[in-house]
Amino acid sequence: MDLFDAIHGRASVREYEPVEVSEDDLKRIIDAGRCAPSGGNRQPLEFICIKDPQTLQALEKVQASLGSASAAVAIVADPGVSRWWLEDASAAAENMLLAIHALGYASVWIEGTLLKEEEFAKGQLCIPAEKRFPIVLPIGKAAQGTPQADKRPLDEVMWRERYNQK
Amino acid sequence: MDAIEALRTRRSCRSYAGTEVDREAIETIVDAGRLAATARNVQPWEFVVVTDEATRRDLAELADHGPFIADAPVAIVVLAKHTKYYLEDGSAATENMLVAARALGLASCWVAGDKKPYGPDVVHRIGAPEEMKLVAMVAVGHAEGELPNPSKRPLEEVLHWERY
Repeated sequence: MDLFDAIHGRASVREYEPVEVSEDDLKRIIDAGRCAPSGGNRQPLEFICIKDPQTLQALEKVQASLGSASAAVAIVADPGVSRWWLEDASAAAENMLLAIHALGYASVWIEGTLLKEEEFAKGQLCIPAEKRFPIVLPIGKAAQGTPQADKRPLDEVMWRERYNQK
Repeated sequence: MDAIEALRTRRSCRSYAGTEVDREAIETIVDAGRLAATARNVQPWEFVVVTDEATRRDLAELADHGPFIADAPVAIVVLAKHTKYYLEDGSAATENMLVAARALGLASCWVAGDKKPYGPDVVHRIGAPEEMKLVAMVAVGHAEGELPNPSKRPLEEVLHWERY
């Protein structure tokens, strides 16, 4: 899929139909996360690829969408490696959302509900205490085509040379 | 360009040729930014496209790791209202723009940003309200010479299956 089709088509999908997500596709998705830039190229991120239905069921406590997902990617960050870990995790998440859509799957950025249950979720995945688990991306097949949310138009968010200047 | 290829081949460029970037390309890049994921679809961002040489020189001087902002023909200043998820949203938008630039055959680099002492100075320099947060300054242009290829931790090192 062309990048710009992916950028325009990516949407937040929270309910999925079952689909077989190949190991190759999962590697491509995580590789996209790995290729995101990181502050000072410190690369504080690692990724956990989850396919085990029991784990996904257990993580349903965090958010219901994980229960109907076929797979999920957890982003693990080491704040000891970089103070830019949240920017880096966000860049990786966005890359992976684009890759997921480009490969024909659907996802949503889960963070707020995850942070409320971060210790529980870390325990489920054996993530060490000193690391952070800020974002998880479920992967599934959208039950139906979901359009992207309404976005502020370009001329509302773009300025030239100075703020508020066209 | 294929999405996966664009994501994989994006690099941070710190050496720019003087060639200008046309208006349409700049709009395509900012457009990519505005379509990024954002918590509750809040879209707290604003993008200030700076081509003016004097402004770029000032921004380059303010940034401790961004001297090339003065050389690149465009700097896109990514600002955000101080919402709960401004940093995540702003970073997602910035990433979309970096990848979009790559797909257009252009080079770019993310200059921090948040947690930098010069954030308020940059906000002030471009005339934005002082309560806005600086997420990134994105240099965009044509790469001078080969794109860098910094070493990245290999996939096998960062990918865990099922458990950490």
